[in-house]
Amino acid sequence: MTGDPAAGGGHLPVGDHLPVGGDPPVGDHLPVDGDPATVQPADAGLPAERTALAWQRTALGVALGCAVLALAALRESDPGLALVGVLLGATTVTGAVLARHGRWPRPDRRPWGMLAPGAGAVVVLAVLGVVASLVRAVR
Amino acid sequence: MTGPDGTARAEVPDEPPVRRPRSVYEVGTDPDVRFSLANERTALAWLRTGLGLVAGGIALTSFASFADLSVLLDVVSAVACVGGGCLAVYALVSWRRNERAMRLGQPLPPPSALPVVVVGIVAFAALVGAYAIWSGSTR
Repeated sequence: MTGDPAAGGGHLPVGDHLPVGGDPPVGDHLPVDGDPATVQPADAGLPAERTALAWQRTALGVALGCAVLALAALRESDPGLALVGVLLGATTVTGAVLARHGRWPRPDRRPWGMLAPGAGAVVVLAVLGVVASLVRAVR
Repeated sequence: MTGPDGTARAEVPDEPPVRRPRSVYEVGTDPDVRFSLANERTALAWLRTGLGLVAGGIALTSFASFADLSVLLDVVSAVACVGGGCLAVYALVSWRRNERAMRLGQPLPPPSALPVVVVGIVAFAALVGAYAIWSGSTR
């Protein structure tokens, strides 16, 4: 988690982007290695970390939803639907791991490059859920 | 830097990669990075709300199958899954809308899906509650 704030790491240029006029908040710039001349912007409020955690919670939720779907499909003796659920869950986990290590998507495609596939995964899961509900209703 | 003939040549800076989506990043100026991250987290929160509806729908149909309950619950769970999928799409739309507004220095648009979600969840709770009362009274 270094460098790219959108990836959840590094320090944000807090001091360069104050939301409203006025002095920087206390502790906005912290000395590095005890040298007061070397200052580095502090990550006040840790927004990058909070965003990274929000991504991880979302990926975990999609993976758990896929697991619930796969179990429901297996119970209904529908291995095809269960397989699709498992594949979707595995894809989500793989994407989360790649994003965590900064290997996907490209920095210039963030955050849209992650938001769109994430929303797509939820939509696919929703469609599979509708299919599971209707299959059971018809039976 | 000099060319092959020894004359001075102006350095051409590398073009930064085009950020996607262009409809967002080609307007206005970059806002405070903390605000962009907050917008991203808000979109993720909407995504997780949709995911909760989808997972709840799948769990409901699974439970209905397990306990051999009415087909009505399958219909309710299908509706919940559709609502969750719609919220996932709304997460993308609202992220794009808010990011554009911040880049253009405009007021943020209101969360138009919020009243719909509230009404939908109340209706969902009322339906499931009515079913519980009805099934209890017919036993």
